[in-house]
Amino acid sequence: MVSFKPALAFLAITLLFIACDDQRTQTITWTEFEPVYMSQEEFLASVSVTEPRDMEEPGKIYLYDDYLFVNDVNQGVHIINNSNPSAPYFAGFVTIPGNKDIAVRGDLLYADSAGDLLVFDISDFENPKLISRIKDVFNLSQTQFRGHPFRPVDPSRGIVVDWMEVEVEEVCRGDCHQPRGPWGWGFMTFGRASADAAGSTGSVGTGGSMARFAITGDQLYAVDWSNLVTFDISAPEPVKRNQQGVGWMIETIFPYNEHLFIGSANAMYIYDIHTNPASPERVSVFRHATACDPVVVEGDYAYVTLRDGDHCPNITGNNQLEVIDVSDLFNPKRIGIYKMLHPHGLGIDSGDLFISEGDYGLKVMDASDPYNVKEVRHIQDIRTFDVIPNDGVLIVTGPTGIIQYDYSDVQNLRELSVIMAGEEAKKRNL
Amino acid sequence: MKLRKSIFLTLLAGVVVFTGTAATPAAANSGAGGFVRQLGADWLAGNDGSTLRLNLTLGYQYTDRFSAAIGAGYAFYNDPVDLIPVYLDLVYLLGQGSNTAFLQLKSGFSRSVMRGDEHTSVRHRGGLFLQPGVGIRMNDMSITAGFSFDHASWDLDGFAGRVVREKVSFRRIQLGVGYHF
Repeated sequence: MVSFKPALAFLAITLLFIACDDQRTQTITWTEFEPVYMSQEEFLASVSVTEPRDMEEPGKIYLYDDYLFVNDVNQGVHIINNSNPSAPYFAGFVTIPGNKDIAVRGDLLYADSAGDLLVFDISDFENPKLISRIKDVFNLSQTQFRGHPFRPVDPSRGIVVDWMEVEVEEVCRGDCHQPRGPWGWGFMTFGRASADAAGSTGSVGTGGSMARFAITGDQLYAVDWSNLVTFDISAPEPVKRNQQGVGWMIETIFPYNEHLFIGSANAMYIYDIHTNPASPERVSVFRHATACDPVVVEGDYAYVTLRDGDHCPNITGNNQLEVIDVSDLFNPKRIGIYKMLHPHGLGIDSGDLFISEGDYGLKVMDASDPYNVKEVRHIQDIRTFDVIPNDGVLIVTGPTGIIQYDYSDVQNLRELSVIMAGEEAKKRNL
Repeated sequence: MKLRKSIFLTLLAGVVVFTGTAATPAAANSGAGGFVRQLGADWLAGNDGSTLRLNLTLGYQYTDRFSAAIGAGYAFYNDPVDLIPVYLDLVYLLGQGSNTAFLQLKSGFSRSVMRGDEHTSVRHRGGLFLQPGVGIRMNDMSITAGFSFDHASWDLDGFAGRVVREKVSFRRIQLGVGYHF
């Protein structure tokens, strides 16, 4: 006998009490940065020369004479006596809140401090003196952490000297939209200026490939998020001569001969600094895939590394070295692309090309034939960030410190010394 | 992805072949002591969409009214995952004869699969599967109606270390047809 009633009753009760909407819970976690403030008075008073101390977060480096100047991100500048690369030692520390970039010319050290430009007399290397401060010359509107959301700056609370990382979680019924707060793109620090610049009056230091400061002759060129700023530094008191928009997400500046090569997120810009050094003129733009992109130049060829990642534009897979023929500066041409792992800063010396591969180590490339760049060696057990090849000594920076190699034989790099930073340095001191 | 689908279809074919060559099954409602095999298709409808699920079950008729089977299916949610439920299928006949109503409970776990390659940075998981329902068996065919719960979750890696974790319970009205063989 067929018995449908209980089944129908069961079905009816079931359908009565149950909704037919899918239930979704979305949890979004992300890292956000919130500003660390310092009052104006404290900010101005905090610049000081102190005893040497351990490096926490090595940033840009600058080689000048026998000294290494190492930016500790947002903290200040370490002064390291490097007269013997096999036995460098800390000589002093200059506390500079909000410092990310440095450059040296003659006896003067130029450093940014949030939006200000500071000038130190370093005629006594181990006892620098602040001699000048130019306020509010850099555009800090986008100096947050590239690629990460950040909380808005409240100017009434003081000057932003650092950013603190906080973890945020948002739980939504259904779909969350974008996390609240603006998305920022900012300085990635670490930079390069060059001693190769034409017109240099001589005593200019050497920096890494990711610099935002560069000195040629009597001009200090600095890039921020979107601008190229020119200072006349013929006198100890710098004078701002020019500021011009370049593009968006400007990252690095590299002076070579009579030109500036400026790396941005999606292009390499070439500027003429010979015709009017105080007001560089754009020569050409070489577009490339969107990514982080330091650039160095040797001879008629520019070498650009592109990388993706957390701090870089949201394009994945752009990890490569591009070789660009710049013999015709009005019409740069790409002549080669080489796959990389996660390239950061790079440096070149007489065809020996050194590329920091981030967490993947350091690569030594033979670029003696720019049309056929070959990998010579890959050192994998170090973390690297930027490099300076200088007269046979390769200075490699990374989150764990600074390593110096003798590269007189690139087939057989010989480690000269290690200056530890961050947790490694703390462990050493325990 | 194609490999996973191929494995699933191969297993499905294997089960069909196995059950087709197994001991003589009990005819539908012919009493205790025989195999029950069913190939079915469910329409899963809800306010947030509708989709199809294919099922295959193999079990045993323990008493005149009660059978238990294990089954597997493939639900084409594509949101962004599809689900492969593996479940225990309990059926209680409410009457005797070739035409009768029955109560049914399917419960188990689903495994998730991702179709296509548009989601390159996703970790996904299935979850609990539950489907109470009723049905009517008419000779070799049956029709069923019930409510289907399918749980799944997935993580998408976003820019700048952002992780989006989504948990979803697909809550759908189920209408199905089955063929007993």
